[in-house]
Amino acid sequence: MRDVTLTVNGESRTVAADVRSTLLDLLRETLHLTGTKKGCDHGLCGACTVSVDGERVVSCLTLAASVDGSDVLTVEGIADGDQLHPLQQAFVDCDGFQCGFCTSGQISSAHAMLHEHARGDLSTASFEAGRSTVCHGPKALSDDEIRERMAGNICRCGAYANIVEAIAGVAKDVK
Amino acid sequence: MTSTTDAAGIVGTPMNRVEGIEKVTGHATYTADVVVPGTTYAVLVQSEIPHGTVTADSLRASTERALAAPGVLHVLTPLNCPALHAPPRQMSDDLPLERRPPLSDLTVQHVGQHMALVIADTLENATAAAASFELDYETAPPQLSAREVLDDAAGAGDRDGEGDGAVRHGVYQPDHFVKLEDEKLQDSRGVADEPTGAARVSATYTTPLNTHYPIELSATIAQWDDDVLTVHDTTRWITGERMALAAYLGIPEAKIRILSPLVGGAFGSKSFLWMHVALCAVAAREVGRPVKLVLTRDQMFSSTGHRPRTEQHLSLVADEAAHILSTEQHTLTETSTVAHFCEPVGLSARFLYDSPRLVVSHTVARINYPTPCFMRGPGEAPGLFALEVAMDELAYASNVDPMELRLRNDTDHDQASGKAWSGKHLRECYLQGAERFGWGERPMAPRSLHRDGLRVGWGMATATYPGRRMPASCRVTTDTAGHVRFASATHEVGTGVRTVMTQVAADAAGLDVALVGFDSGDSLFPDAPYSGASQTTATVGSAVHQAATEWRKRLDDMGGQLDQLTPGQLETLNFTTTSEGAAEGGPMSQSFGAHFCEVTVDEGIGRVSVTRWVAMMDCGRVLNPKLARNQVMGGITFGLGMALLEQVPYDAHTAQLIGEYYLPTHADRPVFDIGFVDVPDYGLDPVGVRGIGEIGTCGVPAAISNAIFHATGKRLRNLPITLENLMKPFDDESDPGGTP
Amino acid sequence: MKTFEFEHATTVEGAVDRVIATGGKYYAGGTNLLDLMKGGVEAPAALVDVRRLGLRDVTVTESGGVLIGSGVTNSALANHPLIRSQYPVLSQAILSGATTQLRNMATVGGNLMQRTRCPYFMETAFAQCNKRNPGSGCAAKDGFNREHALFGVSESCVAIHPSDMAVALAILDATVQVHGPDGRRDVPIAEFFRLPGDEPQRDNTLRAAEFIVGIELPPSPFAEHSWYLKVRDRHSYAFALVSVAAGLRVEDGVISAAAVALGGVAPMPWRVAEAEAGLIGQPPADAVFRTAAERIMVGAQPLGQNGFKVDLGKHSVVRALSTALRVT
Repeated sequence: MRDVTLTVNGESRTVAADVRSTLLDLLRETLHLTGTKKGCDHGLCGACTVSVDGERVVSCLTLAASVDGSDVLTVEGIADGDQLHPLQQAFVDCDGFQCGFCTSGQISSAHAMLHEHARGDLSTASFEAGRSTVCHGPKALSDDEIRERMAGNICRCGAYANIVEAIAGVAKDVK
Repeated sequence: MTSTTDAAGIVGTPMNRVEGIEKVTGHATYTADVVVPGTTYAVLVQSEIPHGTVTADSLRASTERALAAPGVLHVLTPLNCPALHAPPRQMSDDLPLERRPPLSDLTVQHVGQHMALVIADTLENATAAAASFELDYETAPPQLSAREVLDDAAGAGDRDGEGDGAVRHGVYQPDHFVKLEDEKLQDSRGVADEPTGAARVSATYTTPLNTHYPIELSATIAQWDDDVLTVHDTTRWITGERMALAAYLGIPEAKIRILSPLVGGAFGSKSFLWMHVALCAVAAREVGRPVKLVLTRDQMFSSTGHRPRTEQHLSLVADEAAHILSTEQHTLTETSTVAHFCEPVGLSARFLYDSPRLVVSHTVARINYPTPCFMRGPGEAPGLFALEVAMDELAYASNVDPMELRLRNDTDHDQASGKAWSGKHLRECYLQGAERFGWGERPMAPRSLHRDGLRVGWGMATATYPGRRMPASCRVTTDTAGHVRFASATHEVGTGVRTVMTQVAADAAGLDVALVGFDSGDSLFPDAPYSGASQTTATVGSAVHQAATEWRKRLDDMGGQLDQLTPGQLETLNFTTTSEGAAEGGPMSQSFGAHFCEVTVDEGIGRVSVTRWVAMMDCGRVLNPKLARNQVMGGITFGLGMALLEQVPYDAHTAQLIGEYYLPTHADRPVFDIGFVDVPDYGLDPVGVRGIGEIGTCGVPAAISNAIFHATGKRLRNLPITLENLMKPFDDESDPGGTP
Repeated sequence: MKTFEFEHATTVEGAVDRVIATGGKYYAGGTNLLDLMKGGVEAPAALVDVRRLGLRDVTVTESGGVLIGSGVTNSALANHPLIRSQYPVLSQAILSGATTQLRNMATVGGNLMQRTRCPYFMETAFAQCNKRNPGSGCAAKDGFNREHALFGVSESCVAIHPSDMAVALAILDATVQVHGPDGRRDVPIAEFFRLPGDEPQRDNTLRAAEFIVGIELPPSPFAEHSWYLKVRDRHSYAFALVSVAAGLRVEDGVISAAAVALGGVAPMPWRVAEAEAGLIGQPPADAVFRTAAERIMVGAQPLGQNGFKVDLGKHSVVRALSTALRVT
């Protein structure tokens, strides 16, 4: 066992963790922050997506000990108290989920993705648009861009169209 | 898109899901999220061989080693597991409940069979101890395909694979699907011999092993309080699971409480009682502490059912006017050696088109593979693949537009039973769907359309799925503040049942929807059947409608003012009511639809894209168009996976799972245009609905295959359709395209 | 998972010392190593975490190329302005791999070190895997081998290397900078990966305890015309059946520089000198590309299920070169 200290959703937490523990299991089983879900435990489905030090990761393949000292943002930290984040409200209004199990991961992923796009990050979809877009980043987030950037979040219920609609709506408002 | 507070007209509005805010904030509680103080963790050990016997010595040695590992509290194996009872025949004859309880003997019937359960204080310790197991087996030759069993049975002269034991071999031909005696798996009508017609198509179609792959892993938390068992489980059959668990454990149902308020996707799985749930309950009793067991993703392939393979031989004969004279569909499929299941592939052929002659048969082979079960559109999904591709082939053989062929063979009653339909608007689906798609522009000849160096194809298929209704009960409770809650032991698996039941209840009770709630997921609530077969809205909806209507009547009989009731009067607004199943001798209830899709095919690199999709559905009344549209899009995406991506990969030599099972990602799905005929059908239930959960998938793989034929001229009858099927040889320089 | 020691290294020399002392492994993003540990394929006695060593810079070198620290994440590298403008094929190749979440975690060094995705290797239930368990046999040779190699195989192993980034590095003539017990070494990318031969358990030519500190790229002639084509079973998030990194420079209507590497077909990115030489001095025409494609696939040795990769490889080479040509 070793002490792992994380700032989770703005709050400093120190826990005694098994060195084998993933960030996912530490969040769920030790801190009882069960919003982040386990769908495969092998990085294949994206349901466990959280942000570590501002970048989205799959927490099932993150060794808790290796991120000792980091900032972690989970889905429970995305709303502002009772005030839903625009993404969350958009998911509700656009019906961006059915069973809801992948939703924490979709929202955590989309939340980070909007930041990535805002700072000019690319996806493979950007290369279809030519060198200038590759150099400067796509100005708008087209549906193709959103889909590619969200491809690591699997939704078996198939709510994909509404998820993209929700994200696109928020992306437009952010501009 | 916010909910209306106007009580009149809440049904049919796109109200947001009642549990939506919980789901987007991470506060929705699924089974594995439930925190039970003192919980211990269980991890399964599964067999790595398909057939044989494990040695007692290796079980003992592995158990000893595991018990010595850090944190391990107990190990259950066939050597020490308290005996469980076999389920009654009434449960195992028709349903895929395993006849042989888990850990009951040393034989191995399939890869992935549970061999041990390790319980420890932490998940890491349980996982490590389970991984330390090293089992030795005496292997026996396995039977891994229906063909193998058939050939064996033919040789041995024994084609009657009945027998009475828990473990059975051979082949058999079941009479009907689950307990639905009218859904005949061996059926025929009309003349004995296939007539000669102007056009005939006859081919073999195959569908591979598919798995449900809900994102939520199956999870169980079992705890005993003296002799009362509480089980949190990712189940969508609370009532049945309680019954089955009581049978396996040999305790009264009244001593079991099952909780499953939110399920993270099922698609046919998480029904019945899967063996790990019983083991979890046994483990909890042995260690005297709550036990939590979450299946791994790999274990989901073997331990909660799957869609078995099918091999279908389908022949259609039509006359000069392209009227079908004869339909024959013969299916060979598989189940395990320890449970019954027959994928009811040929049921749609019995009624979908006007066919005076019909022969449908199903042969099931018992193989050394895990037990299969329902998977979204059981029967329809693989069966309509074959039927709708065959219809497309018949259209070309008859030189008739594929949709025109469907119109010419549309039926006005159910030929299988002779009954009228409770409602049918399939023609509207065809015509409106075609209009929205632009089907009228379609040139008949394959390889006529191209765009940007890609071949383009347009295909269509009919969709259908039964409207079913079972008995269900609903409880109403009213508080002094005027809040009214309805409750039933049904399950919110993502279909939106809690939301639409709230709408139905508010509407029938004449209440502002903000005052109404619907609770599900607890066996203490009145009984409901499993949430599957697209029957929940009709079934639970009827019970809710009945309860809400009765509630309004009782209130009106007492003056109609809630705040003027005496406590005694208020108490009469708490009651439970039961609604019946579909009326005996009533009309046939079936939902219908039409799919139209466009694909592009890059023949250089063998890549197919499904670009746009139009689906028109006739599912009776649409209670919530936002939820319904999402459900259908989800079903189409599911079918796209079946068509182009999904097959459970396994190693031919060892029968082990191998590699990855691909699902559609965000990047794979088309642009959707979904429409509903939205004509209420009161023939099945007073709410006017028929099922919607599965019809979206039905016919989708055929529509895609048909579109690919239209694009390339290649007729593909085996799923999934992959790159190898579509890539042209490098030396074929016709149609040089090249622009990606 | 068996338990292990875990420590954060603070210097490169210290990391090397600790790996030698513990017999353990370097740990960066962990997206492959932790996955293999969960599956029991790897069970290191210790993990030496190398993400606090710095090594996160991308800088211009004296010769006008770039030096990439091995700790730079895949995402950071793909999005770096220098890479996007001067080496776009590298950016595109990285972005074609995995998902954003995984690319945010994985480092450049780790990307080169990732093991094969051959399912017989990754699943310990399959006893026969010479790469995981030397001498036990190779189940892929006459088993499930649809995703396996056409080139460079041996009797002992037919697996491929799954890295997309490496395929782009191959046409960019990258050099891998390595530090070990015997000091610094530079390994040209073409010499970094190994063919299995008789020792399939060794994926690369690193010596014991050697650690990748950086990757150097010379200035590239392919900034204007390059493309990474990845052909796979679904539109995103899947390993390559075949991939191609192609770079062209065209001057006065003829090709003056060309490089083509294939992924998904060998234990290393696959370049064929004759094919590239044959492009030089030729007009960038379809027939010329087809000839190069045929040359690249010479010597392909299909297995039972991957024969389609021969034609797919040819189609893909032509497609990648054509697309590279048309980039604007």
